[in-house]
Amino acid sequence: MSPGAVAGAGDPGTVLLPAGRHAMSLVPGRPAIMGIVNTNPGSFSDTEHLADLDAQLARAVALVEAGADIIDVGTDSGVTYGASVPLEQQVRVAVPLVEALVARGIPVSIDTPFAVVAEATLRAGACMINDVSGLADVRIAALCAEHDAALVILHTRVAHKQEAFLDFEDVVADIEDLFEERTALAVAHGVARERVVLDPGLGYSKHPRDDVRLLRAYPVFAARGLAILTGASRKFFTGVITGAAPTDRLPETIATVAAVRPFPGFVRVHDVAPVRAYLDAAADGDGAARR
Amino acid sequence: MDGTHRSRLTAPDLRVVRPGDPGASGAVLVREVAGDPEALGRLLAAVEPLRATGAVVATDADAEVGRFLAVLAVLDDRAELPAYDLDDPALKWHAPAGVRAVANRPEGAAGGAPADPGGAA
Repeated sequence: MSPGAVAGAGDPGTVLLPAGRHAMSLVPGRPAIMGIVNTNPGSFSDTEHLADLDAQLARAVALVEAGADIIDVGTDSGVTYGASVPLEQQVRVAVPLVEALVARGIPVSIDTPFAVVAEATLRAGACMINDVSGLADVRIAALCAEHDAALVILHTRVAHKQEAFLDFEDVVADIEDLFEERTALAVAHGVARERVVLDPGLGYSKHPRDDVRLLRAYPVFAARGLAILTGASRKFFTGVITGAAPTDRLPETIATVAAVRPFPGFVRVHDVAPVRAYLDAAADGDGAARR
Repeated sequence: MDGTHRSRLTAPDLRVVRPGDPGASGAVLVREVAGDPEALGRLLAAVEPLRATGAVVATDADAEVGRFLAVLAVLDDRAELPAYDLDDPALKWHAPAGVRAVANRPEGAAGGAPADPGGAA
């Protein structure tokens, strides 16, 4: 954790998240930064492919040096074109990267809906599973429990790699329903409640209008007292607002980070250094305003 | 950061101008970014509390600041989300050449895009 992301236990609003051998203190106003490293060749919104372990490791270390608190390793792509990377290939590529990062003391999350990938990478030392299926496979919860790992429950209503703009009657209520149901499911499979992280799922099965609605509803989600993960990077809804192309959405990404900054949790981004610069300066501004 | 974006909204209240432009003399914040992403991050942190103050900010990153403010204006409910086309090719990620879309749209879904809508970044 960066110094700014750590605070004493018991601070109002601070969420303490045990994750493997790490204990993360997540402070309102100073979300931890989750840097993205994808090992698959066709990942959504990457601007380049990291072809081998050396390149992936170098990128991850560079992100940590730029201010990332945890690295999220993506082994498959969420894009709705093309097939999934074979599971054995996902495992074969991810495990050595996880081992190398863990050896450096870097907390590692795995972005996967697949139990076989979760199991192999947890054994390699990953401390969090970022389950982008919304716990469609409960074996992932049992594996997280076995390894004392944190579990991210993401709101979506479609299967992995399915494309959809669903018509939600009340997207916030639907997210709340899923959070309630899947958190209970995770706990029933042995995950300690405090190890659950909630992700409202910006862009997952949602219209841009629903992304705006859910971002306005963060006080509702935060009332659960759990950490919130926000995939804030280069989102479609921000392009709708500004017209910026997907590969050129840094101001839009930082605006999304600004919207969720008051809430304890993580922001998942590609552009770590400028987001760290923003968060540090914004926190300095908070301090100046209090003085 | 060349200012060639297609902003569809003008952020209300805060005025952002380039250094040397008319009105820049009254700026409460003057900041050169010179294409440095980290400097832009720090600038946006400085601009954020000013977004509904009517102040003037002078910067060479006026386009980027305008886009930042436009997103916040929608999230703050101070501006409408523009009408959008789910299939707008300028806004979507695209399949690499030769890769076919997966035809697996579930029942109840709207829109008709062959590529990812912007979910799993």
